[in-house]
Amino acid sequence: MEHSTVDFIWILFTGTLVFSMQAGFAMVESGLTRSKNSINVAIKNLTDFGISLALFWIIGFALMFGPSVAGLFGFSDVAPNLKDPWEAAFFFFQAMFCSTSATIVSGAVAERMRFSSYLVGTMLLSGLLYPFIGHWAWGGALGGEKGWLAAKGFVDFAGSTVVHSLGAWVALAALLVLGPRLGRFSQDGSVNPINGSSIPQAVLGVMLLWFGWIGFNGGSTLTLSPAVAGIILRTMLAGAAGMLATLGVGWILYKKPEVSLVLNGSLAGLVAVTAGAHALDERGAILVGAIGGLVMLGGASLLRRLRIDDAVDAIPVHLFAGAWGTLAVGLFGKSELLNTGLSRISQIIVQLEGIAVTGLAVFTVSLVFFTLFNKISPIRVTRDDETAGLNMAEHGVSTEINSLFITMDQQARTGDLSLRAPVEPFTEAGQIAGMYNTVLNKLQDSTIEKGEYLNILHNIRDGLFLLDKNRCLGRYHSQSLHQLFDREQLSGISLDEATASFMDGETRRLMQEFLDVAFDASVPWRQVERCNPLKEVRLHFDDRTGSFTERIYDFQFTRIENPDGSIERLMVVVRDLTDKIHLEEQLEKDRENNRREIELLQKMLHIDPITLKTFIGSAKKHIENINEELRNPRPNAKERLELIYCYSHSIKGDAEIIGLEHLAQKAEELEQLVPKLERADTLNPEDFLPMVLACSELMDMITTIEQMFDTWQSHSAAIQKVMTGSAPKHTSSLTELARMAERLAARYTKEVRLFYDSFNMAILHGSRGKHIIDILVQFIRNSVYHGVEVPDERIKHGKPRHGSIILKSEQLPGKIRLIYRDDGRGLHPEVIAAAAVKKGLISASEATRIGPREAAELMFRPGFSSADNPDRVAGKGVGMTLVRRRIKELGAALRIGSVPGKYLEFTIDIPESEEVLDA
Amino acid sequence: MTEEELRGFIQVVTNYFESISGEKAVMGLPYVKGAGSTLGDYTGLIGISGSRKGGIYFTTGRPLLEEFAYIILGEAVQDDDYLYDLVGEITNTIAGNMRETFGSTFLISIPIVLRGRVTDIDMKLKPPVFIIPITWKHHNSHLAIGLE
Repeated sequence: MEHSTVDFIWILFTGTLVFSMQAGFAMVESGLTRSKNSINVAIKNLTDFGISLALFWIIGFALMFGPSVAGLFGFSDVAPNLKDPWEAAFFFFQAMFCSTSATIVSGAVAERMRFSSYLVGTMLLSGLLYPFIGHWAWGGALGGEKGWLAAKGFVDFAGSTVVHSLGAWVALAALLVLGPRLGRFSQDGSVNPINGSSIPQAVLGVMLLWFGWIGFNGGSTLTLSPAVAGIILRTMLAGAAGMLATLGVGWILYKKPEVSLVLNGSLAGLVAVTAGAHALDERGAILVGAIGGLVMLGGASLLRRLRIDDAVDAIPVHLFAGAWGTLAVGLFGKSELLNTGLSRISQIIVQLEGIAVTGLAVFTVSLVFFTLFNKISPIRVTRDDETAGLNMAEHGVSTEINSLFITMDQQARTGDLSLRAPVEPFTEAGQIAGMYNTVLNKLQDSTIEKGEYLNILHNIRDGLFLLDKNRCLGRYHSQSLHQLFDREQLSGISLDEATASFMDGETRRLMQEFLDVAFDASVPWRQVERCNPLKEVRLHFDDRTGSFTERIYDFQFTRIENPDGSIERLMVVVRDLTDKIHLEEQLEKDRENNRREIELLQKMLHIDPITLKTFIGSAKKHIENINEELRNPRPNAKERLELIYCYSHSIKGDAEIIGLEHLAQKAEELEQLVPKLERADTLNPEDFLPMVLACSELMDMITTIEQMFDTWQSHSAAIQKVMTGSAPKHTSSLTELARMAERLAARYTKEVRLFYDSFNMAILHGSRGKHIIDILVQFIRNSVYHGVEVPDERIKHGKPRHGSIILKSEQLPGKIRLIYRDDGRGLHPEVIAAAAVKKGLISASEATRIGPREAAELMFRPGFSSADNPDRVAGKGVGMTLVRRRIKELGAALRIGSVPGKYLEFTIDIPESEEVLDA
Repeated sequence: MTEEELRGFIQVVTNYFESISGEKAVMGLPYVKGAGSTLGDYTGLIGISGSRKGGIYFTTGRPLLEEFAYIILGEAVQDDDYLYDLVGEITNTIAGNMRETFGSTFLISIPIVLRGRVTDIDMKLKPPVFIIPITWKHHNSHLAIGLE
């Protein structure tokens, strides 16, 4: 066929216009998707152009326009050299159409399809699907047999079906295998809009597509005939009609003039008119365009309902509007222009047939292909990659907003406020980053401040917390409070609950009352402070080993007021004063101890150390004996009691001699418990409780004295050596006796002196000596109490003021004789007899026969005392019993001599042996 | 330490025995504890704090416990661990009763049980420590009271 130069110019020019639609598609798609995927979308558009062009040349063109094989496909050279110029121009024109169809897919599957998978899909489309369908509809355009659809009379002028819906069918199959984008559809069925990165860019893209459509439709006649003008006109009208119809209806339906309505509406109109632009009139074109827009709307809604995620609504635009446009050819196309010779009905049927067959074939093959391919290599990117964005994931390319995103993500994960986002100057992302950094600066400042406050709370030793109106602790408190209250959980707990484990109920009750007053704004603070029950309060913490530890805390309260005067909170400071107060108490105790010790020490300094040591030894032994009587009691209660009595009496006496008054008093108390027990009808062990208490007290005293003595001795040992050589020894026993006599006498306003007349001190040694001293003590007491008269009386009787007691010792063969004599009243038998009668010891008649001898004997009877007022010292009638015992123990013999009014004399003969008989 | 307090503590223990077994426990002569351990096989220790500090322990041997267990369970018990738990229960009840009597004056702690001759038990009691021998059904035991 001969083609004019003008035809050549026209076909090449319009082919170029169709080429520019690639740019339009690129802009529309990248404008309607998110910027994190923008690079990926754009590069897909360019890449699929290259691939489709290559494949169309290698095999597609031959399949589509080669000599037909049964009208199904064409066949000629692969990778041909197109020598015929018209063929070359024709190829160029047709290749642009193929690329258009291929590039439709990229928009729909955007933001989650793997780049590699997309390219393979493009190869399928441009190498197989498009050439086949293209052959069916347009085969034979270069000459030769027509494709079978064309032979049937199917008309698709510029490719509403062949190009547009074909691409969309492939996209649909891919979408079904891919699945929707993350976050596009919620569980509850709602559809979440995913906004594009730049609508202005999308708008420009649409304009470019429209621009390209001039060539798309205008060049499909393959010649520049007058008819082209009308075709182009109708194309423009349909686009406008589609836009307006969509905008109008959409505005009413969605209450807003959404951008997509305008964009997709125009495209839908253009796609719809593409099938029959040559055979419609203007009104028809408008109608077809308008309905195309509405069909697109419906299609978009349907997809959403079916939860099919088409990222740019490519399927509603290219498939739905495309199918409509193809059908519209049958409905409105002028038959004379269609030139198929079919009736309207038949034409419609053929149109439908074409639509269906195309859809079936393309969709099925694509679906099978993608499904199988997906099994070998997933066509969808990973979740993480989709979230990160395909720019980064597929191409390793980042936009500057991505760096901001990365910084923010890192900060969200680590909480590290020192990070700052990189600022790309002159970019929107850079502006955002700059503002973000400013916000971070401010945040960091206030965080540092908070960090300082928290530092204080963490390290302060006192407990610090706030109490709200519900008496509950606030969220922030000092770390030390956990140890102070021995408790993990403190925030939000009431103060009552927090202190329950270590504060007794009464104190807590007082605390509650105090808090009520503290929160009452009408009560002045000074008054409130005065009733703080928790100043230096004693608390007890369970130490979990069976006992309690005492701690002393001090709670200080402060009101925190609102501007209107009401009390918002109380601030509480808790100080642990345990150590301080225990120290003070210890100091006080030590001071008291020191005082007592000094008193004791002063007394002890007057006592001869050896005497004291002896005393301590014997006192210890006696008290242990008493305790032993309790621990292992002899069965005879009477004996037991007597023994206890004797021991305590001994201690008492000894203590008195050396002047330890307190100890003597204590021993007396113990001693006096015995008669009570003796008088009782029945003896129970409980009755001995007072005794054991007294016993322990006495033990304590003795131990104290012993300790002090040991301390003193160790100090003074050195001094002693330096001073006189040896300490005075034996004479001091007598000195003690003498002093005791003087002291006792003074108590009864008498004067008594002790004298020695060749007295052998040695007999006062050892245990025998102890017994002798015991006896002498009793004698002295007896003399002071009974014997010696008061000075006035003595003078009356012609005696010296002071009474004299003379001690004498004589050495006799086998024994030692001890003579004790006082110059007092002596024995008055009748006095003694009378007292004995009173005591019921003898009868009145017997009393008349009492002589001095009998009187003396009476004196030694237990319980006998002729004293009127017995006191601690004498008069209880027991001293003599002790004497008797001692004498027995010594194995000695006692004689009494007396001249009434003149003297009383005791003579004791003690056998030589050192052994002392135990009674 | 007063006579009343001593009596009070002793009574809690003797009453306890009577209430459980119906048979009275009888105290022996009290005495002051010397040095050296006086512990039996099992000892229940009760710490005391508050206005005055110290402690009380009740110590006894197997025979008493076995008989006591027999009365409670109705069958013979030889198991060491059971007897250990029994001492714990006894001491717990006694401590509870002491709380009732003395709770307003003293803080009576949760008791702990010791086996055998424990040497540092004396640290819990403040001297002087009074030993009250307690006899129940001819079995020996004693109460040690050491309170300021």
